Amino acid sequence: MKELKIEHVTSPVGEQEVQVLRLEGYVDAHTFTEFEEELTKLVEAGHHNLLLDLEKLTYINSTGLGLLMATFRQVRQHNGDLVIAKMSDKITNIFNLLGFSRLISTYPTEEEALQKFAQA
Amino acid sequence: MAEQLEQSGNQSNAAPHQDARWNLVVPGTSDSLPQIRDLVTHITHCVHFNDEVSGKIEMAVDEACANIVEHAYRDEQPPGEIELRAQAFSDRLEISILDHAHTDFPVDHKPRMEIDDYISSDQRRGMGLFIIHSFMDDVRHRYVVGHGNELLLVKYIA
Repeated sequence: MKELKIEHVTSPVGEQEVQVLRLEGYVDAHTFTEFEEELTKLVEAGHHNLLLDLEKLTYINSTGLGLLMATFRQVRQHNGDLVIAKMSDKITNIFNLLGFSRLISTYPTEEEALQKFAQA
Repeated sequence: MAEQLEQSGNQSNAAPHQDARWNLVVPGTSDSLPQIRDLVTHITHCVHFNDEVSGKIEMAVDEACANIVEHAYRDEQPPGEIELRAQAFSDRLEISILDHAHTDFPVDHKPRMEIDDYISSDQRRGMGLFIIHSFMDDVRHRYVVGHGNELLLVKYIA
């Protein structure tokens, strides 16, 4: 398995566009920069509706979680949102233990996550 | 590449894998982290920790080793090795993480941010020490001049 593979697609939702990132592999000190560059590139290009599909993500470290939180704050400041779909049980446990689930919404499927943007 | 993995121990006792030991030596670089995490996951499953506790131990060890790569070996070229020694006891798992850095990196004395402060701040980093301390039951550090840092992480078996 590749260390970190990021697939990027754009999904139209009503009059909006949602940037969907599907992560495969792991985010750790070795792959963090790749993850950071991808998210930073999107936000700097003015994309503030982000959906991260984490079904095939096996691990994310504290710096990766910190980046998620920082990006969440950034897009919220622009009336956008960052949501997560299909997070594994293992990452969900960590996410809950650290209190991130109090702020960032998670959904069992991409379709349900996209509906969130449709309702916004 | 200096790399070594050993496993030994009496696994016939009533307590699962009591006295079992594991040892791994890898280069102190970030591309060694997946191998370290794989071994930790193997160990925690051998000791029969549940998935939640296994995930906590994996993350605490990964954060500790990432600190070695990013801080303890930051000014050392080439970086030294990271050695992981683990031993299962009847009531606990002990994992020692050793480096050969010339810098004392006292993980148990570094100020660490509480998670609510982190979430409400603009910081992207600084959560690693919180994770190490809150996910493990005991964290002890010592620095031996001429040898390096040794971080002992303990998780008790409920």
